[in-house]
Amino acid sequence: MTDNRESARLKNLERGQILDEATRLRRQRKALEALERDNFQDDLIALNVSDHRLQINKKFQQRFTIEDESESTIKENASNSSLTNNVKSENIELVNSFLSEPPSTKRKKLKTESKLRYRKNFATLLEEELLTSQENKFNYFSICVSDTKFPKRKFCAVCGFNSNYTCVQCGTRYCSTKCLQTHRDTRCLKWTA
Amino acid sequence: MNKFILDNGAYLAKSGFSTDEYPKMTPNYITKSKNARETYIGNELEDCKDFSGLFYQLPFQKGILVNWEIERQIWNQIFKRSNVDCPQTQLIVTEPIFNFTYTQECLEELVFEEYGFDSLLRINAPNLAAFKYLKTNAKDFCLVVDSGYSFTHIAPFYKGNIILEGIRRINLGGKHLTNYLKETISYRQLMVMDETYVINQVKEELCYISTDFESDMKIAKFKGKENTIARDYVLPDYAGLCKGYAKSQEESTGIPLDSEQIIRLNNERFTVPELLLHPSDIGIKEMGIAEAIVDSVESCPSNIRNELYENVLLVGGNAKFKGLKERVFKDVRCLVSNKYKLNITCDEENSLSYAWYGGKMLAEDKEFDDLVVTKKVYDEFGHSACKKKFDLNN
Repeated sequence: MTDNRESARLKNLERGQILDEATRLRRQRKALEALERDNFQDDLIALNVSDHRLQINKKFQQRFTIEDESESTIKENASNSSLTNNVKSENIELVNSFLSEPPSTKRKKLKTESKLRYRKNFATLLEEELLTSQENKFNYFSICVSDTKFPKRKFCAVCGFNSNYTCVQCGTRYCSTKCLQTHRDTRCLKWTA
Repeated sequence: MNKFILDNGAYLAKSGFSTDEYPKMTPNYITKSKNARETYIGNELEDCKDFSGLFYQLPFQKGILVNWEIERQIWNQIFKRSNVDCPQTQLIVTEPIFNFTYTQECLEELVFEEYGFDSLLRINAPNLAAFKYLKTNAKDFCLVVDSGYSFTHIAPFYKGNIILEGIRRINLGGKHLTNYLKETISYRQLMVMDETYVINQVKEELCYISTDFESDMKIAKFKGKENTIARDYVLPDYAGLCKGYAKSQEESTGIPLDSEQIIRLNNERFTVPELLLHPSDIGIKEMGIAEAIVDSVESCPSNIRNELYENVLLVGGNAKFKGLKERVFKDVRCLVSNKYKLNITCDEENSLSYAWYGGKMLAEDKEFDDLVVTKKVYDEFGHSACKKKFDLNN
């Protein structure tokens, strides 16, 4: 009963688990996708409605919710978009944006701006663009640069200098036994994808 | 008729009337500070005192404008700040090369139907930069390398017209460099994954591009006084120190003075910007800037190649890295035959606003009125009129 807690890291190490090529590629791809992220933390403010801007015009909020149903479809789309993890903040941003609009905007205008309010995420836009750009020889996809002809340079993950060796288990590069020790102590197979 | 130029970058929006001397820089995103519980739209970031754990909301994704709600708020701020009277103003807006159709349509809808500008010119930033270069140097050909926050575009121009065969895009920009630096520091020293703003300052202050990569690596391996590359950076603690700073070489001992938090940058100083020239270092299979320049020129007709090599122009935020010009020259020189003369221009101080100044020159040019699409034409024909006039494939 007391031995239920086991360290996954130690278990893996003892087993001498070696990751195969596909898993290594998957891990590398995840690391590269992490480079594209804007934030690594959650949006703490959006979840907490103490933002003073939201409390300013309750009357406007009421008017806004009665006005048209397209707002609910936007909420649906926002919740469907898998990219962001701050769905609620999108809704709050929508309300924010209408609060900050110049007061002279007529009510009629809010209804006709359907194109701008229906937000598509990047993946949808990319697919659409793929379809429409088939007709042109030069388009967003064709101008992307091709692969490099030069060989890949290898650097130690721990210290950053030139590396000659790879970790047997996970494939990360290291330069000396000291760096290998540091790697084993910290990160080897910390996340098994 | 007033002319307003808005260089709409993914990181900074450079804006101003054509009569202004220099452009106003506005951060093109919304930031939230959890300590101060405040939201800063664009320029309000100047009022922020505590930059730790700043949460970013960018309307751009991979360099393309996706989120118009946020962008509208920032544009409201920009136009209000400069007192723009929309119906009396002609607007120049920059967009990436081969921008998505949906984004273009949304932009035109916003400009004409919501703001009500008199006329619009939708153009690429490299085009404006080329215009300035060609006019100031009285040349016909120009190869613009615009390296920004989201990506790098390489585009050859002939007298203001883009040469379609030579356009290239490398999907690596300042954002990826900052994230990579955050990752390496978080692994080797201190957990800074949330501190985008602070690490961006570190990158801008301490990173440079080395001309001789191997010998710089050797120097960085030394310990003590012989290592002229390692530097300490004092992190801000927002109690006394609001903005971090880098210590000079003599003071950088690696040992912090009391109540100081330092990070020590050694080979990260030059291996991080090295990604621009060798994306393969981190596993991205694309070509670097030097190789892509050669690839771009070689796909153009052979009779113009030496003109293009003689007029290479580096603009954009990443052109501010020290040593980029020399390194690109060295790398391209190695790849290119001796019969071509190679000449690279790079104005480090003004590389961010180079395209804006190009827009200013274009606005004052007498041919400007032929290039724009007026509101009347848009009301009649819609997006197709703009597409016909601005699209690169026509």
